Amino acid sequence: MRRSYITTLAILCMLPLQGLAQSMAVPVSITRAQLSVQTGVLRKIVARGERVYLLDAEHHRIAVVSGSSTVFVGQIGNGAGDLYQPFDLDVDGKGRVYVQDNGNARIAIFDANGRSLGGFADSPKSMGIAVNEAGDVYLGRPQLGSLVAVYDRSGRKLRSFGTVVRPSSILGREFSRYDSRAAVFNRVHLAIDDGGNVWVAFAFMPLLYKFSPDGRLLLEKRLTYPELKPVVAAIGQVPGPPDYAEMNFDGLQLPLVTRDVAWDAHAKRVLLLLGNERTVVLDTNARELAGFFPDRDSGNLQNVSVRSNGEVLASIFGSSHPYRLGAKSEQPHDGKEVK
Amino acid sequence: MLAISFAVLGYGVHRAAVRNSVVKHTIFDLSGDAVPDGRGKWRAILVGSLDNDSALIHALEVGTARRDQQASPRLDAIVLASDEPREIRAYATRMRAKTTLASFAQNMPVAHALLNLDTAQTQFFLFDPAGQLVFRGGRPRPSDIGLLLQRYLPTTDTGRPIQVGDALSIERLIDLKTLRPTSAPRSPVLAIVFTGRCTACALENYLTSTRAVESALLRHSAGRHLSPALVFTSFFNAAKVHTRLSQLGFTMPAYQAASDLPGVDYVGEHNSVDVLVVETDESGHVIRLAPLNSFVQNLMEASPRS
Repeated sequence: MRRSYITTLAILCMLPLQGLAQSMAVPVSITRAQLSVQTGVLRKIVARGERVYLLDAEHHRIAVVSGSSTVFVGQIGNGAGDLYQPFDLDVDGKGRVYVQDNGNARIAIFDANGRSLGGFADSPKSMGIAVNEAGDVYLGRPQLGSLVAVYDRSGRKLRSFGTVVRPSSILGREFSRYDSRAAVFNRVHLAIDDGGNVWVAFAFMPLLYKFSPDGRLLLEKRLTYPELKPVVAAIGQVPGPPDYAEMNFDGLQLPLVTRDVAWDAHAKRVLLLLGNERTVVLDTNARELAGFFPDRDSGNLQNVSVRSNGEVLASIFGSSHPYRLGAKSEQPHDGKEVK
Repeated sequence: MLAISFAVLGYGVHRAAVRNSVVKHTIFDLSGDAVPDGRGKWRAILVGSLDNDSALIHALEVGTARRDQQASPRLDAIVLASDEPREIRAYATRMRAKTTLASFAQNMPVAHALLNLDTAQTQFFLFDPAGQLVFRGGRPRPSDIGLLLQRYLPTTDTGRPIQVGDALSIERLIDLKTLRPTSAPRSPVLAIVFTGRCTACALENYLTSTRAVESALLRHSAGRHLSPALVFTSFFNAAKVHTRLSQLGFTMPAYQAASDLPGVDYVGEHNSVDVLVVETDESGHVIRLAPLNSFVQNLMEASPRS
């Protein structure tokens, strides 16, 4: 009999909505997700509607899983429809896939059937991509002077917003030596909620922003979790000011304070994955509703995404398997992975 | 319209960067002799350093050797190394390199005119038999070279995974303690094979977990008169593995395959085993195969708790 899982979030919904202490982060099981596809090492998982998009970094392609069928998008190469060292992706309301095609320095766009729709140059290289329902592309691009720049599908810049933050203003005066290289510390993860608001989680600073669709700053949340202190301290121990920091398949040159931010369209909440693998659940005002973390050494949680049925999927650094985060009470973990 | 902007802004950048056909440019080897222009053959050019990119050089050698066994298409591979010529010569001798090794500095005109490179950043180029560029990419991984060669120069033999009864044969081995060529350990062996499917994962996670069970593996080997060995495919960077092994305090002999490891590397995209335990008989034929995790689990269950 197929076991049914009540998702983590469903369980968390029963918890008091406000005022949960940070120490109340609950352990949840982490097991292999049942997706009918075999991939190489995954860089990202994105769930949209009934589909799940797996960024297969090892084979430079995207596996689009819908039920029992899988369509592969892209292959290694430089040409139209090819990908080389893709790094991130998002999907618009019509199922078009937007890929940060890092090695080819471009944003590659595919239709819902995997056909290439072209794209545009990704220069300077962005970190963080999100796409709204209409297909406007939001890129974290602090090198241009604003946190986020917005483009249409042809690469025409529509607008930009967000003030670039000086590292010392968030991390402390000892980080002032990095202020001249603020772009490195303003690399972000992006998510867009159902209202078109843009959530910006800083990769290397304990900071979360929410912007309105037209780019007004709606809220700022300092991430004061004590567990993040060692991560921040580790950044300070990086010898010398980094010339640049870039995520790639071989890891990071700076420790991540946040690893991902995702919109949960099922429960209308935000999931923020912290550098210590704890995931916090926030309401639309960034108030913490709950937190959870894998109940074992999971390897390294890399990103999270929520399916339309509320199931929380996760990718793990270096792993080729999609995982699901489940309620511990529903599925006691026996130490073995579920195939 | 989209496609046009794409071509101009994206792919066009790469095309424009390489201005001429590869056959119009002469590359000189370490002796100052012109390398044959490779007309009618595919040509791969890897730019990088011997120290940092040895795994890429190995992967290129493996890919080239595999295609040498076929009538067509043929592939010429050249490494333009940023190192001093005498270091390149020493490397070529030490590693018994089969790939043409040339000095980046001595080929600056070609690097500039053909590859649009002024510095020896790690880059991989692939030209078709007409001399036209089909791929250019920075910081490739060894597996990327395998994927690219398989895309453009497909071999019918993508390899099948090693099976019980196959010979565990490695043409060339490097001792990872001395970083020098060595002979294969005496059969029968218990080889812990790091396939290189994810080299970063292996160095970060699997080596640690293997170190944790090293004593059990050594006991098992001693009890069955097996020569224990850690074996890394050519996908790994020998210097990095050497350092990591030393940091973790491994005592088990460790080797890197400097040549193809049949049935283990390049076995197609659905080979999902990161670390494989291979036990052979005295003739070097495989009698037992298992992923490390399940092998160790069985080992622990079979052993009385101490």
